[in-house]
Amino acid sequence: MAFYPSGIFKVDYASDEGLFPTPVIIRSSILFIIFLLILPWFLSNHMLYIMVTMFIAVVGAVGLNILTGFTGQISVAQGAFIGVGAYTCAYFTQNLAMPIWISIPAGGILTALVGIFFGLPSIRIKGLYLLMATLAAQFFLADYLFVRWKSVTGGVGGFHVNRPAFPGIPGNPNLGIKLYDDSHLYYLAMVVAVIAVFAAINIGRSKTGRAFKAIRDRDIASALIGIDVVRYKLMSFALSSFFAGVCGGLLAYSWKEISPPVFGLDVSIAYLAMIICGGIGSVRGAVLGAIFITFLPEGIMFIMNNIVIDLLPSWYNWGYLFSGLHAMMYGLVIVLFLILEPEGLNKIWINFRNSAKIWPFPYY
Amino acid sequence: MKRTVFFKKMAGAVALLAVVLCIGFPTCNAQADQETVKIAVTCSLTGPHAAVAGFCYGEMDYYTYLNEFKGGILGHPIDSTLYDGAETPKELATYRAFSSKVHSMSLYSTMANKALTKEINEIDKISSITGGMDERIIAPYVFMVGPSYQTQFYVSFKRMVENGGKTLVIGHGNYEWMVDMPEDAIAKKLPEKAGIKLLGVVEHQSTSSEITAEVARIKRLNPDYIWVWGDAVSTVAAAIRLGIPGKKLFLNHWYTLPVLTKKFGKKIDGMMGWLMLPSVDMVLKDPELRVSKELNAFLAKHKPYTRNWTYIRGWLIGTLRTLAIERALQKNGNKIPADIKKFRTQIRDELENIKGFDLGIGHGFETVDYSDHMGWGGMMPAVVKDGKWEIGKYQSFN
Repeated sequence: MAFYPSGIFKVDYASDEGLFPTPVIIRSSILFIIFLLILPWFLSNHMLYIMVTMFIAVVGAVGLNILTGFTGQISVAQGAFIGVGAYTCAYFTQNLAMPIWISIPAGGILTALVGIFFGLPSIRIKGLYLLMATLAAQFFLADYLFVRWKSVTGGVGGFHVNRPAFPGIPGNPNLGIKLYDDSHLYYLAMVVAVIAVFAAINIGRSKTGRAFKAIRDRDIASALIGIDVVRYKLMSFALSSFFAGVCGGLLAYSWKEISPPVFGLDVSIAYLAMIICGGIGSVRGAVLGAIFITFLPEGIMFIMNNIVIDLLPSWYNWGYLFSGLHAMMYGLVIVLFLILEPEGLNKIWINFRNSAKIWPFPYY
Repeated sequence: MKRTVFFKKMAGAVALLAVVLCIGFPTCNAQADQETVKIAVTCSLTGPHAAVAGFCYGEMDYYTYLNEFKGGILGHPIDSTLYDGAETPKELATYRAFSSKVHSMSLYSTMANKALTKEINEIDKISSITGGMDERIIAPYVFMVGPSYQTQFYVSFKRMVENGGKTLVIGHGNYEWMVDMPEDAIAKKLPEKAGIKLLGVVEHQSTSSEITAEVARIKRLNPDYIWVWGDAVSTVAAAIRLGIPGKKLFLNHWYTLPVLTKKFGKKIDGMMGWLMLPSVDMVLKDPELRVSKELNAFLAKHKPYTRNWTYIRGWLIGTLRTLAIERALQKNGNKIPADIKKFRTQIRDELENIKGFDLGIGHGFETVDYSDHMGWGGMMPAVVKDGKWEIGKYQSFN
């Protein structure tokens, strides 16, 4: 009873749409954030880096979910949009000596503008045709602009980014906490990820979010009931791209060396995989998908190299085989998800939660 | 009902995985075996550059050879791990997975070396014999093997001039090193220094196997030589289609592989290139060579991943690294110091101290002086005759 109270009466719309409908959720959210705050103390460098990567992926996946999950606009340009944010943030940091609290939002804002531009075709086309238009954006940005605009991007030779101080002051970075260490970056990425998740949930609950979902479900009907479809589609591109830009800014600080190939089509596909595996249209699904896809290759490598290899006969060097196996396993897991649970990890979580609620009984 | 059981099992598996990942990684670090020499190798085992991954397997096989036939290094078994993924994000994660544990490593990509410069050289202090060949990534803890790309550009242009060439066009793919290295060579004015006129640079899509249009642009410029920098198979195929004679083509060292001669035969007669190292079979021809003896013993029990020169490259990387580790161990009374950074630095110092070391592969290769972190400084010229690579005598560029 302490965990699943009954008799919660919602007497107005505000309480019905509240972010935290029960005190249990508030308490568990606070506990979870405390857990995340103390976690770096117990993690190896490797796990710390993976956690940073995971938080950054959460921001990008939640952003893509706004566009594809909420609004139904498919995009395979997320990798390139992340690249726009990364290069903007890197340029602001390295060439303009801007502090981090300007560089990262600047990356988000510029990417939002780029997103609006490349979202213009969505006014006239949808489905596979829109996919092709965003594919063109991906190729134009990642394979042409990032490579050719050397004065800004450094071309294929790459762009080196020094991790700045936070909260940095231009010209005097020593006054802030240096982000050099991954543990410092962990806290920044965590805070941004938490903000991104709550922002995305709020967007979904707002008038804007409802308009997005209406457009996703039937755009003609949405227009008939007075929703400005053009405006909301572009707004969706802008919001999604803003998240992608912030994600890119964080990635630039994490990697310290950015170059066009790291924002390729495979990155866009990986982000699509995150929201598909997680459960398209759900913020929780996007978060779970980002966690899953980030940890998947590491988990496969860990299990293969530390558990499976000891169980196999020694006449063959299995390590050689396992070294290249993660790419295949990655694809296999995604295919299994699509076959066995198209609604993704979010549905698995809901089923698990419902089962746990009534445990040890099998059903109500 | 079945679905519910599946969901429960899946959820259980995910929870177990999360626990293993969160607890397992730090636990494994804590349980590191102090008496085992630990080496990590990252490599491009999958994807477009997997064709030249032979050197990673060659290096790993050398450690297997030492473990099986020599009892490791001075009795210390070698625990070597090969990681796939030579693209920046993956390699950065991989590096962090092994950086707290290993005594030495091979980090593959140029970008990862750049991104991790501070970690490798100042924080973790791990000696790395890199797979990359751009001399700009040489650093206190970063070593290379073989002539750098910059040297290869210069000596190739010189060889073109020696063969009567006056003009040149560079044809390259659009991968990182394929674009970056020609740009660096042009910035350093290497064609001018070699005495050849650069008529132009033509780029093509590396992901495309059909690049006739790009090669046609090269043909229109009518150069004496075409420097094929990347994607040799598609470039040569297009050149044959357009009637460009093989003698106008000059390949970088990665492509002196049998695949081209097998595919195109006599159509590419006259095409030039470099063989960086002898192949396994070339080394085995002289059973008295040190590497020949090692390989004969190893190959009696194992099958190599490849028999081309890349395998020998890896074997030599392993030789140089373990030589430095052996010397570092000797200085510590055959004990691995508890202070891992001290041992890593000793290995680095011993790598740098390698002087006059015979590579043991014959064919005129000079001894290695590793004080400049560059390895050996020569290659063997190669030219296609009667549809087969004909290998010339070793040339030193030092």
